[in-house]
Amino acid sequence: MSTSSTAAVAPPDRAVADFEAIYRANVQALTAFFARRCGEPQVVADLTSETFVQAIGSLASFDPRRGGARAWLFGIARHVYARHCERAAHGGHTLAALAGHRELEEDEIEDLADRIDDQRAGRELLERLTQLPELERAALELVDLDGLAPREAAAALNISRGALRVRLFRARTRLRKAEEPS
Amino acid sequence: MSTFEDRLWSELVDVHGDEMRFPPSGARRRRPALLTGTALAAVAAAAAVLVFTAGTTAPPAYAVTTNADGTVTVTLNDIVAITAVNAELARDGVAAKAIPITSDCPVHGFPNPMPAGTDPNTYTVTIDPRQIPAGYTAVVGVAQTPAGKIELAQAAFRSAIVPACFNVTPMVLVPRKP
Repeated sequence: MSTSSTAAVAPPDRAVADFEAIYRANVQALTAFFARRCGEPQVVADLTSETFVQAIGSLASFDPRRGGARAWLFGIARHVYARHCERAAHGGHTLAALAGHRELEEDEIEDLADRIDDQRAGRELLERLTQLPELERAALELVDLDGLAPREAAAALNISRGALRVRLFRARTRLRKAEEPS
Repeated sequence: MSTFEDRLWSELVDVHGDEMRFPPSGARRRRPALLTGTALAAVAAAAAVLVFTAGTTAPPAYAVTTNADGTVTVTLNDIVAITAVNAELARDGVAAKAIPITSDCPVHGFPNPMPAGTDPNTYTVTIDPRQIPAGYTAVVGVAQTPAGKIELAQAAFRSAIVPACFNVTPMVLVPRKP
């Protein structure tokens, strides 16, 4: 053997390691969620950041039995986005009010701009979904665009799995009918 | 993981690291549940994944050893040392990563097994960096049994972004062709 490294690691940062696993597994999906809605890299970054800041603040109430970490984070993301829209509608300085605001470096702006471009098809689909009731639209987006399992989407929307299935069925039927030639 | 996501994580830890407190185990089912030894063994048997169990005497949390023949041996005896192991591998320039296997990870499936390079008698995984194709990462799955034992499953090279965890619970096991 030429080199060797061994160490005894103290355990106190287990919670940070646990949260990092949750963060790493979900941050790209959440960034895509906001990139689909916002055309500005800084806004995408702020909303993604705000989602995780809120998640950290509500860790005490996190219960993985209710749909798992992804459902929990998407539930938070939906609230973060709704609040962002409310503030924007009232002409408030949305970004300054967000806890997760951080000025982006140039390479981050470029990276996020690429992700916003990547979500073009998703944005177009979202626009087509505006004809659907809010809950149906949200169900379809979470399952078909964000890749959540139905049980996760149900938890994120705080509805039963049965209710989610009904919303999905109705949403897909409505979409199909809307796209059929008249 | 992109620059944005890495920087955001660093900032979250710097600013909010002290607030990362999960509720006590009574309120929370438990930390991301790791596979039981039986479940991991089933996966290993079906997919020929090589599994090693850590020793029972109080060993170091981890060891990353570069051998004379250029291979790298990873030993892990404490689940919290995954980050340290990965930092060590990165420092050594080895395209390998230890990944926790959890039952609530949203990333399903587990890479196909990586050929050879292991010694079950030493409870370690040995990787030959020269066999890892450019742009690929050798994945070492890490599971902890309810008794606290660490099990390592050396898996295939993965070309895409390596996820933070794997979930093999609902995996459909298909016997491999000889």
